[in-house]
Amino acid sequence: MAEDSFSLPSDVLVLIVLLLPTSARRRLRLVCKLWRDVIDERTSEMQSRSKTLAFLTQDLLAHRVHGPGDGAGPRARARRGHQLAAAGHVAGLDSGRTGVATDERSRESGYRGDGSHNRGEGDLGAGG
Amino acid sequence: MAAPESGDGNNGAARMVTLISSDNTRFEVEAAAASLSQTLQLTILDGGGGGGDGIPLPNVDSATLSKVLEYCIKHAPAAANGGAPNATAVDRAELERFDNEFVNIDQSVLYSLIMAAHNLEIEGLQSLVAKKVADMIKGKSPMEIRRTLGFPDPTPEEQAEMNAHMLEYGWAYE
Repeated sequence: MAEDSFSLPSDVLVLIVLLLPTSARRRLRLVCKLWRDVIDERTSEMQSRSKTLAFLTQDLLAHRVHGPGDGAGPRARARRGHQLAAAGHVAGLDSGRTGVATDERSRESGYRGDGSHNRGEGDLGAGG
Repeated sequence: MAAPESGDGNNGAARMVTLISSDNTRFEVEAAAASLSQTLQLTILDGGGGGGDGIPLPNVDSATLSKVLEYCIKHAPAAANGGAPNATAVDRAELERFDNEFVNIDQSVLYSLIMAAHNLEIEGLQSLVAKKVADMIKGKSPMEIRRTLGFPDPTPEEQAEMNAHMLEYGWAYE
């Protein structure tokens, strides 16, 4: 009973993780293998740092995707998941331009982010 | 946010739809409330759920569905207002009080709600239950989180990693 009492769908887990401070992710990764995979794949550091870019990209995509219609209907909403996924990819490809696209906030957090990333890898090494 | 057709043909009685839980209980509810579910909204816009038909929900039992509908009915007016930008502070405070009370529930009920909100794609409810779980695990160590959520015992590998983590960061949880 306890076994499946809280096996959360990964979409739900992502929502939860995003509500907690990014500093908690290293700890949340250790809860179980599923959480680690979800956090590594769906809430990567890149996404949290280039949030601004991700939003811009998503908007651009939204315009392109919904260009012909008015895009206000629920079906447009249903497509949002795909857009978000696509936005993630584009943000990844564009990461070289992040410095141009985002504001000083990302520059400020640049060092901090890199630091925690390194610590994260250190954890991995120690674990395996 | 609001259904594009809301207000359309709503001059008299509000349009009602029937939802049928996995254990075959029928719930009649205003279409506007049911439409908080993205999944149901599509069906309802296509004219489903009216008359004697009803929309079967094979993944949601009646106890959970009645709880979900309690949420939808409470939130429908604000949602129809486009997130209620002109709601009074009193209205907002009342919704907030309702939400807090709403998730003050047994963990198994919470889990059923999480799954239902996910399957029915009820955005507000998804955020609410996610917030609840986030609050439950905030500041806890990995092992405490497992216990809180009723996970089975960790594998030796998982345990070893948690031990290493506690050796290094255990002080942070004191």
